[in-house]
Amino acid sequence: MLKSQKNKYTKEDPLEHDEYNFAYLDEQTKRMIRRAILKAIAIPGYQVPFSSREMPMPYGWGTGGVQVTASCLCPTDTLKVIDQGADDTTNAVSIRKFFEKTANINTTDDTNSASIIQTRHRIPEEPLKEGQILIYQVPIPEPLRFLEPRETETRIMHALEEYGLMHVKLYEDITKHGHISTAYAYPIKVEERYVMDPSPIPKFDNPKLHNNEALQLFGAGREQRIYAIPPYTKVISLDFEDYPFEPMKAEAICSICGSNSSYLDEIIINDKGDKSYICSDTNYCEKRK
Amino acid sequence: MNSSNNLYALENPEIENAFFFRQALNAISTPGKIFDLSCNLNTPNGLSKSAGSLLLCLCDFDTPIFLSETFNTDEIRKWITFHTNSNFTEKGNCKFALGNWEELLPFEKYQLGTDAYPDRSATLIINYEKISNNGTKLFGPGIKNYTYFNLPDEKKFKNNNSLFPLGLDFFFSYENKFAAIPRSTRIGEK
Amino acid sequence: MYVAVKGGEKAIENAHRWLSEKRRGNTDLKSIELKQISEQLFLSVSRVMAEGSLYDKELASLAIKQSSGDLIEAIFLLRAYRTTLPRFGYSKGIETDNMICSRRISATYKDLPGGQILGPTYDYTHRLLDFKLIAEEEVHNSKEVEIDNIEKLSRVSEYLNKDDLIKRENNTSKQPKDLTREPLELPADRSLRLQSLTRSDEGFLLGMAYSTQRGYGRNHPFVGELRIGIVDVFFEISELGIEIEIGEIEITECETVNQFMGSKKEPPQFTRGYGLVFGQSERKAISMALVDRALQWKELGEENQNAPAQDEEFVLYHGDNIQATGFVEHIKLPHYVDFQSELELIRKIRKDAQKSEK
Repeated sequence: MLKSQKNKYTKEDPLEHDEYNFAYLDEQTKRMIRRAILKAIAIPGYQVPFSSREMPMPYGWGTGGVQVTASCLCPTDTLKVIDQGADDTTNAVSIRKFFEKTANINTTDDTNSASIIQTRHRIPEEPLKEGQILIYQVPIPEPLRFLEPRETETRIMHALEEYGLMHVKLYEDITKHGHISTAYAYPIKVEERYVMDPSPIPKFDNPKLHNNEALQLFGAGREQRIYAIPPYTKVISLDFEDYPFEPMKAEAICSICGSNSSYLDEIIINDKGDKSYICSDTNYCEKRK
Repeated sequence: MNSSNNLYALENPEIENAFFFRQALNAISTPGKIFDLSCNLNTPNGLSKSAGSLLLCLCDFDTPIFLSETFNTDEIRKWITFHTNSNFTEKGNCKFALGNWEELLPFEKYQLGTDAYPDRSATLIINYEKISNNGTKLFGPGIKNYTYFNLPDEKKFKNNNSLFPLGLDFFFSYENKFAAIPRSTRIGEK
Repeated sequence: MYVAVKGGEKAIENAHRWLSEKRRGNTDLKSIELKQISEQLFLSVSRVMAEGSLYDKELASLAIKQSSGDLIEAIFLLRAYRTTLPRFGYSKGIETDNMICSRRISATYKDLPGGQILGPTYDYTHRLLDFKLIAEEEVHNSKEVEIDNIEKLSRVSEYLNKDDLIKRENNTSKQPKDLTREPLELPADRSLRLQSLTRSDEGFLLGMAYSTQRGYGRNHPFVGELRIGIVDVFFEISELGIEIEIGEIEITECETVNQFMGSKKEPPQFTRGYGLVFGQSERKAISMALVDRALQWKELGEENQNAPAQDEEFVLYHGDNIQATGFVEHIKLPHYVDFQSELELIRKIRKDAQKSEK
């Protein structure tokens, strides 16, 4: 009897007790996703279409990342899940629990000892190493989407390497505001070919995309796309000679660990609106305390 | 014929396939690096463990396979059908091809992808005895500085890379060993 | 120091406990039974099965109960369950010609062989609250209704077909694509569009269909035929070379007949819109037919009026309520990091602006 049929009438938590396949997805789905991942790595920065499945969490909440993680996980893996850099934000907790239940794997907060890290909106502060996999949750994978809403058009633009529109937009920003007005999800070019959306990470994190030792995989569930940056891959953030790319963070230090180099969250500490700053990467902050 | 034993190759496919895929993933993200697959996988005569593991974790009825003459045996076909439910086809229609180097040529016969969908291209699994890190210099995504690999024909791979983002992706397999060369790998001196 | 994000795990557990208490409501009242839902809220069940793409009344009822009656949440539960089911193969196409109809009406012919069968419909009821239903035990005054017309009913569009007045749709015998197995690729052919529409949100389709009637891509529809009934589902076991009946399903089918003045590609004739949904849902079937017809403008060589309902990419990408609700609601997830980067940017731009004013 197939495992997925058994749970129809059990009263226990349906994700426990072997009711679902290892890491939830059925084998056929995993194979389909695995093929997409391999092609994504072979063509860095190109968005491979895949037929995303309904997951037991809503679209837009990390289903793409979850499907990629589920297809890569081995029982020997140690998984770390972060959202906004933190291990204990609600969505990170929920996804970590999901894999603890369905794959029975070890989880950790420690960036260094994780073999797979699923992330939403941040790259950890601690440098990643060879063999680690960083899996991003992506809401809108198409970097050209806000310039051209039609998939049929943007696909042609990628095929022809026609990225002029993007440069025009960025330059218009500069003439209007004196700055490029994109603060997160800042577009990059991978291996001098594909313009890619790095997911809504702050542009502070963009330099970490370049020549990273870890494999970086990107999953967009609702939009049905998977893409990748292999280790040691050339990644540049789009810019202009007279307006070079500039990573940005709050000009402050963390009020917990005192770091002056990590990305900071601003928090309001009283009704007067006084502010304080803490590291967005909770594990990094914890280790420095 | 001991194919009945061979049919039950895996005890716990969902777990074993996860390990197989992880190796394939590691291989394609570190081109030229040689991996050793240590596991108890029963494959039929002529089919290496490493090639078998790739077929198991990647193929199903959505991926028609081309088998070159040497590999197009009853035993291998049966094993593949039983485990993966894949169909067999010609070079021009396949998603995966399995064979010896000469038998798999020429590259032009396979789907190389299209400008809009470069991912719609074949992956070749080459049975290749001479897997080693002596030979042609390689660099590109996944490779720190550079590495070497004993390619069977430098020019053909160079040409494949020049088609990027179109092109074929390759696994080399022999017994427990395998390595990958995706289309993004640049061949020769910088 | 105050750090709001800590303790997520505990907070989630508490929230879930609270939810399940709230779902159960006042425990002095009996818990609602699945049978009650599937028998007495069968139109909700129909919608959940249709948009959940899974024909199982019991599971749909469970989903409705579990989601406290939030039908989109229930559809989501069913979809997430469906996707874990192993796929044995595809059934044969259902033959709606052989439908045993509980309802069959035509708006184009006053009478026709088989007649107009009104069946269980709200159409001619007065929308007055029926206070009798407040009573715990309502009086059951109708006799058991039986479907007595089990003979095959001929199809309205066939009459037009015979006279060569309606565009012929040929059976291509091509295996249709499957949206749940392959990512949507545009342009989509009609079978793929229909699959997408039948899974689409009822409200979205209704709005789209309505817009065509109000002039955004008018297509002059008549309901040629609307039928609700039971059809058998067959599955071919290719290894054994036999075909077996695996069950029966209730469906609603709508065929519209649309005026068409001809184009460079096609002579003047009537054209068709088609709607087919699980269960009983006339609103959805009619809406689907209207939108299907609107989307055919290219094949028919009609003018592109730039109407929303004619825009395949717009309709197919935005009709799925599970995708839509997930993404719309996801903005309530934390976005501290992105917001922080925008804060810094705005501050910087303002600072620069102030500097240059001085």
